[in-house]
Amino acid sequence: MSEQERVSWVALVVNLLIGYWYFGRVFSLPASADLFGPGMAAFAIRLIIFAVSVTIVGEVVLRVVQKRTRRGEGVDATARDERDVLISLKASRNAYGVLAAAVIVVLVQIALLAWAQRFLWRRPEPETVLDLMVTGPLAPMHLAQLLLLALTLAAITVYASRIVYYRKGH
Amino acid sequence: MPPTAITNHIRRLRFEHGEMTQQHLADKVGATRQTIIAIESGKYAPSLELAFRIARVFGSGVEDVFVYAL
Repeated sequence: MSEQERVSWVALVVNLLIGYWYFGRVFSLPASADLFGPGMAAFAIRLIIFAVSVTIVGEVVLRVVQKRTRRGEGVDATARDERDVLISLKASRNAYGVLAAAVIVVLVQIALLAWAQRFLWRRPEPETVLDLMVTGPLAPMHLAQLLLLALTLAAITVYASRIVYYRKGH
Repeated sequence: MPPTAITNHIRRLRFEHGEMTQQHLADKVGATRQTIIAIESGKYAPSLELAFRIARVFGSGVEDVFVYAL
């Protein structure tokens, strides 16, 4: 396994853990939760502490593996060549597609909610923030959560794509 | 992913050149060992520049090392 692939694995796991931790908590908050309030500030601090801890653990694991690899494969085991650059570009292209699709989905969701609330349906009472994302009405902070989710999905796509390209060839 | 349409004789040439290791070839052409492995197994078609560098290591022309299979 190349150094770049190892980095991708660690980054993928870190992103999945942080994304699951954050969105699992935010989306299960009561629909009436104040996403601007002091409770959210404390939550953001806990998120930062969690993210930094996970990143440090990932970095330590990577360094330990790097040391063992260098012993076995020579000093340039961490080098990046044309194939790594090409894989990185292809993975970024995939992530761009995911990000663009997610933004379009959010925009369509906004339009559909506005249309449904005006003409169609009596809105069911949402229990959690996740329910609120489906039923509306969406406040700017809820939209920010959806866009943050889109960014997280794009980041996960980058690392997952790299791993697939390294494993399967391209 | 489908393999590339470009096959190669790198493995044979390495053995004909003193059983050169993949790492040694990688060091000579400025690539990683994983890239040499991917090229040998047909999972990656190298750039023209890298193909020339690999051919030069073996003292051959590009078409003696790489074959366009289609």
